[in-house]
Amino acid sequence: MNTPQFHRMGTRAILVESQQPQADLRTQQVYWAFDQRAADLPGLVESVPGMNNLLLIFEAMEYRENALADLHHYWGASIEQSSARDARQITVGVLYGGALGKDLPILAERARLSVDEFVMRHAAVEYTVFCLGAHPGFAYLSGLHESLHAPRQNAPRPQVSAGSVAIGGSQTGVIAANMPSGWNLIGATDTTFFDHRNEPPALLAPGDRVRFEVRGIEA
Amino acid sequence: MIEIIKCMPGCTVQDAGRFGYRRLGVGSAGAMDGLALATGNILLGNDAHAAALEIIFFPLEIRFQEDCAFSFTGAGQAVLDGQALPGWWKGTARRGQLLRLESLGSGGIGYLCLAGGVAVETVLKSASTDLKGVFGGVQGRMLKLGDVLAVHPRTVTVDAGDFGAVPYENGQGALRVLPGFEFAALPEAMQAQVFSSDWQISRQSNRIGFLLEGPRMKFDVPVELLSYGVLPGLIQLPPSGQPVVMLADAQTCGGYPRLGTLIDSDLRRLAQSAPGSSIQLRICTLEEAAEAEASERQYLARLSRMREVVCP
Repeated sequence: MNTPQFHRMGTRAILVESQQPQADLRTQQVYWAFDQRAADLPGLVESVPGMNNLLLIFEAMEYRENALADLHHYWGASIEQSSARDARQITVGVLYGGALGKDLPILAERARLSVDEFVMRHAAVEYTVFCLGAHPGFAYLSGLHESLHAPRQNAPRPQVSAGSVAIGGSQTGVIAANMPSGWNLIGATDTTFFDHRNEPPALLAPGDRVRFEVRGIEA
Repeated sequence: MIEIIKCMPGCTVQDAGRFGYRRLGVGSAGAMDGLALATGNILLGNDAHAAALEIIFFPLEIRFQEDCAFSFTGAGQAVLDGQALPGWWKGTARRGQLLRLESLGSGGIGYLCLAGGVAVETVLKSASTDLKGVFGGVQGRMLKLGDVLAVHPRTVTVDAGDFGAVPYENGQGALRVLPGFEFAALPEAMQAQVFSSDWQISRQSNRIGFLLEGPRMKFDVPVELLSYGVLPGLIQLPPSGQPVVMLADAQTCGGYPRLGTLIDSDLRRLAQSAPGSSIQLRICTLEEAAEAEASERQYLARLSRMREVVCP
């Protein structure tokens, strides 16, 4: 496993990241263990797991500087002891295509697949939640089949509905808020991924397994 | 209670920000000029982080439905029933009085604090408006005509009349950057340009980020990154070649290459700069950044002590 880089971000944060072309599960598991180990560091305000990286934010610069040596040590220990998380399995019912999945026919054509075949491939995989981020409740999923990769739209759409199932480059996910997005829309779900009144507010957590279930396909 | 009589878009309820939920995708939101917010609150004897109105576009007009002490800090001019008040001032309004907050023509952000603090539902430990998540503040949205806002009951009862604060003296000149990440991968000529150019603040700038227009910056070899945690102040360089400085409403994760981080003191200065105006950047050291932060803390501590002397 590559030694990660330790970057100072601003005056109070450290970003520990592994530079590689694709995020992999083994590395992510090390980051999950690393995140847990670092949770007790003095002056830590919060930590943010990313795709094969971890951002640690401290109250003040002194805490950050003091933590650097410990973090290098923790990283080594995390490689030894990383383990898979207790994964929950969550099924998300999706209506593919239609008004809320209007890019589906174009994506299928580009992939040289029938719409049905494209949908079957998307729904055949069990995806792993690597981390949450970007907007409230959005999960970065790993596992999208290579044949379904699709470049983002040239310009983001100004408003995409919460619950849109989308593909952006090599990633797929469910957009969890009404917001602009440049991802390709292939369907819609009525599952709610974030509600601040719930505890925890986000439906998904890192390590969870997600499967999309075909509720219907509209051409 | 206060009622919004006139309001431009972009006015929101903000406190010092929401912390501890970035791992769920929830950003900090919060005041873009935390020092102006803290100053306004301290003038009133509020908790320094209490919720206030953040005004990006002027004018804002409110009517007081009860007697209430208020303060106005940051950019702009407060006018109470036609009488202009000094800047960074704590005043007292009587029931029925009209407070108009107007632009001084140079852009910038103003903070209207109310004695006791603006009372809105606390969501995930903060009153700040999260426009993306549509929660916090008033139903997670910008304020509009006819909104009525309550204030928390006062904890401080002594009112020693009206007084002001000497505004914090911001550093002058170029905004200070801690370079890092992919900065060294920029061609050397462009590295120099980052710090020698005039950068114009794009009119597309908002609470999510400020776009800097100037020479196009490009890596010789495109940099591909995995999504990583983002903080306000981070300077990203998207393929457009136009740097973006992340602000309070920035997404929690991003994937663009990075040039460095603007220090917090100068992120405030950037946020207070009018779109269309120009700024410069310069390299700074960690020691310099620490000094700037200490200087702000001392200013606020001194202000708190002085208020205690005026209102024992």
